[in-house]
Amino acid sequence: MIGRLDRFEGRSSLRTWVFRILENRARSRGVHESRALPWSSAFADDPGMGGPTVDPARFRGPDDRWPGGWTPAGRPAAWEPPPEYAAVAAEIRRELGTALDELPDRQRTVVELRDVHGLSSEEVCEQLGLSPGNQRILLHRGRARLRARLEDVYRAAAGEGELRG
Amino acid sequence: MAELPPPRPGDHDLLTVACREFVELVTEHLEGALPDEVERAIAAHLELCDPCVVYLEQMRSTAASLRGLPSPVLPPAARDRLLDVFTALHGPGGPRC
Repeated sequence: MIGRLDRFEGRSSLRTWVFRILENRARSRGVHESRALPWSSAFADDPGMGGPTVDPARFRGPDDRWPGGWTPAGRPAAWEPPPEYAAVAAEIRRELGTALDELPDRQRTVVELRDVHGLSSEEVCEQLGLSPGNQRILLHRGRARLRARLEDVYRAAAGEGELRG
Repeated sequence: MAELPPPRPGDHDLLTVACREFVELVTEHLEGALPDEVERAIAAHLELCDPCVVYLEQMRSTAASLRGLPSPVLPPAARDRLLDVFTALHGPGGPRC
């Protein structure tokens, strides 16, 4: 790819250009090796795959008057200030970057393509050879973990006083 | 939006969604991938359940905050290798412009 840098004409951002080369390479490799790595069958990197994404202890039991409802301690508290708020955005994005790195590979790739780079679900399914259902499962599990991470950040900040940017 | 009949005790025909179920449907809800019947049940649930509205908003804003996040820094070993390749191609001191 570095050898091809000469051909970069500056019409798109360098990131987009590199991304497109990787995309083409992945596509041609997919054809040559007939998708040697079947994405859809490889959920093995997440031992909790299929389990709940929110701790079951946060919900009321089956014998409760409202089975499956949030317990008073379990219900999510609104995030103040919200992650988009300028004063906390940098800190939030730093946390998200770390948490993204720690996701199982498949979840991370789907979340990166969808949410970081803004690809459509159709594009992600096509590039990764995923069924729409599996793409949604990976996206859901990845996003749920990242949400949980931000929840921890807000809880810790509430304990210490204030979330700093 | 169509008016939903209020849930009555013993009305088992009406599909209902508990909070515990909602948190696992939230991505499909955001993706618009759920059948109408489930979407109606979710709308009815969100009408009455503030914590689930908060949860939905947090999932949405988590996804939104990821947009354009800088790519992770290369691990040092990969960076060194890349620089070696670059040096081999262009000679020490970087590319000649």
